[in-house]
Amino acid sequence: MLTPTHPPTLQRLVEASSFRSISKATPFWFGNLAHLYLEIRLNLDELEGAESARKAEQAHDYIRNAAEVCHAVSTYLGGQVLEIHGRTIHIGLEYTSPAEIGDRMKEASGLIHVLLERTYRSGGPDGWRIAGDHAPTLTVTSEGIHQDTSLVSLSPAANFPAKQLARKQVPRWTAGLNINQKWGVHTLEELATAYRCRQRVQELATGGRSLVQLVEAANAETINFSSSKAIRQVSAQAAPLGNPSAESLFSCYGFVLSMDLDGFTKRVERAAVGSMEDKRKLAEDFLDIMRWAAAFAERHPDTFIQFPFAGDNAIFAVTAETLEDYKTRKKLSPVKTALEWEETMGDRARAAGYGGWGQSLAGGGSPHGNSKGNLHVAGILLGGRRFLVGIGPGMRHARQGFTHVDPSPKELAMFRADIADLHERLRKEFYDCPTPLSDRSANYKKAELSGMKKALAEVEAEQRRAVQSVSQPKIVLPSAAVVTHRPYGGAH
Amino acid sequence: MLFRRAVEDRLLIRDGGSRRNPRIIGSIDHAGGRAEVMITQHSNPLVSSPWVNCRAPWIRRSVDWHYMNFGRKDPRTQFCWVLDLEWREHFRKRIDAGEPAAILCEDAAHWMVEAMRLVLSRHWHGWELGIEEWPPEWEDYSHGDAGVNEYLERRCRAA
Repeated sequence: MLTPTHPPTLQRLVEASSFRSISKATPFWFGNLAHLYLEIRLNLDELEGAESARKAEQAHDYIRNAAEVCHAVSTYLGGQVLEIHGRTIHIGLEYTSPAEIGDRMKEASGLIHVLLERTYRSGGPDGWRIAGDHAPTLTVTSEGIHQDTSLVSLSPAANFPAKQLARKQVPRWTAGLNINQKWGVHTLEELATAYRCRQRVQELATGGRSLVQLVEAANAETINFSSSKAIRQVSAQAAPLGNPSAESLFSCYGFVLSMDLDGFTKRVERAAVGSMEDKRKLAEDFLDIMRWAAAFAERHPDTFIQFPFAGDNAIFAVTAETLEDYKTRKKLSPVKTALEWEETMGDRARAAGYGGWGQSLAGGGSPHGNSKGNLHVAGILLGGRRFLVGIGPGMRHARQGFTHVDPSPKELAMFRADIADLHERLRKEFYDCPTPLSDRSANYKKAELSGMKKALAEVEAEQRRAVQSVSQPKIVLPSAAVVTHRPYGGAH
Repeated sequence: MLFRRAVEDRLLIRDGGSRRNPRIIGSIDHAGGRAEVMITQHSNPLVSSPWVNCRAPWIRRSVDWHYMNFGRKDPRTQFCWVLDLEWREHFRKRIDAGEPAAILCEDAAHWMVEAMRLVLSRHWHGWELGIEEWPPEWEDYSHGDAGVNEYLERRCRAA
């Protein structure tokens, strides 16, 4: 088991006074929160799963624009951006009474729509849609290995919009909103008209300034770009990301591990109707899991990129220096890392009242030799926070593993193209599995981690035998002289 | 000529080279099968160890796996299968002792082929079994001057 040198310690947490004042010192807050998810439509193969750096730059550019719009609208309406995961941006709006929130969610949707239209004009993504819900929510914050902050909201209402988007319950150009337990779908145009969003944007954007610029100007003190440049490599195992942006991506080779906490929704539902102590305990337990997750990445011998938590979903990329290194690592490393995660984090999750972790893993097949990498990372700076966003086939396929085949705790779902690159013995452990739409997934297979552990032990034993078989250092020459065979490290 | 003939006796030769073209192309059997290697001998192979390269897809083209990669077409791209100083000193001593060139060339060819057989076997196992790092059980010299110093220290201890 990988044990951090400085294990995270449980401490009694201090609650923040409001949603927007959540900080390192006051890392949780409980109160009424509306959740809006904006999903922009990227041509999946071309952009979201982009292998080439150029296409990834375009995808990042679209996402950054959408994030800035969400930041502007949420700041204007007293909220903030919670998460950015690929093409989806999650914002939270604090409210006092259920009577007011319906109008605010509709107003926010209309404003986002109008501002996106103004931002992208005739270019941009193929469309967008919004889903929303509201309920009392527990929000916790924690720092990852790159000093980026995850802001995770724990509430059934925080998950519901994402699920509705995944279930395709929200068509393009509409907002699906669950207002006071009533689900309704509204066209974004209607909302923009009903809430006079165009006029309001026009009034605010005097002198040719967009609402984004206005809100950015108001936030100038909190957005400290110079300090963000100092964001550095904080641990030996954090990939040296520097300060990547949509214009200068951090590109590398790597595979992506996505780990989903089982029983999260149930635990959150219980806490939501429980006492304040129950909520504090939930925050403490979850924060502890987030810290242990960062510690796992920090202590692991491989170099990791840690993406912000997506709700109960921990996402890491294990990187390789070169394409050749990546191809070699794909034989065992993905499975090894998945097993190490289960070994280190499985019991912690179960001790905190969750069912364990389901895992999904993808690298996205073999990248082309001339690509800069198969994973392209950019940081988006909003209101003093940096959001790390990854683009590439691994990000896309690892996330889709959960919607396609939903691995249970102690199960690993893996993208078929990546299974083909595994060691033969490990490949044998995978079996076909159904999706919600078919009896057999064409893209994924699953494996039990217990079986995988046994298979890996067999491969490692085979490795040891092979190493011994070719470790003899002596060569007897025809003249009976004996030389020691010892290759040189090279002049580098 | 003596060295080339000794090498040819030990390899399955595709192209034995010539006086004008010192490159020998042949195959070596290793733990995973057979691999084609290109050997470039210098004017005196007993003074400078021959350059050996292999283009099999499973070769780990990294210095940690004792492979100097200057690019596919660069003749300096080769395995660091032996420390050149060790090779030179070994044969210098025996030349000084008056051993016949034929025996020395037989030994040189044997040393090179057997060393390459081991290196190729290790690369093949590394690829086939997903061994990511060069295992410590496979003794080697460090990079650069540190490796030369290790050899000199070892030589002093043996003396």
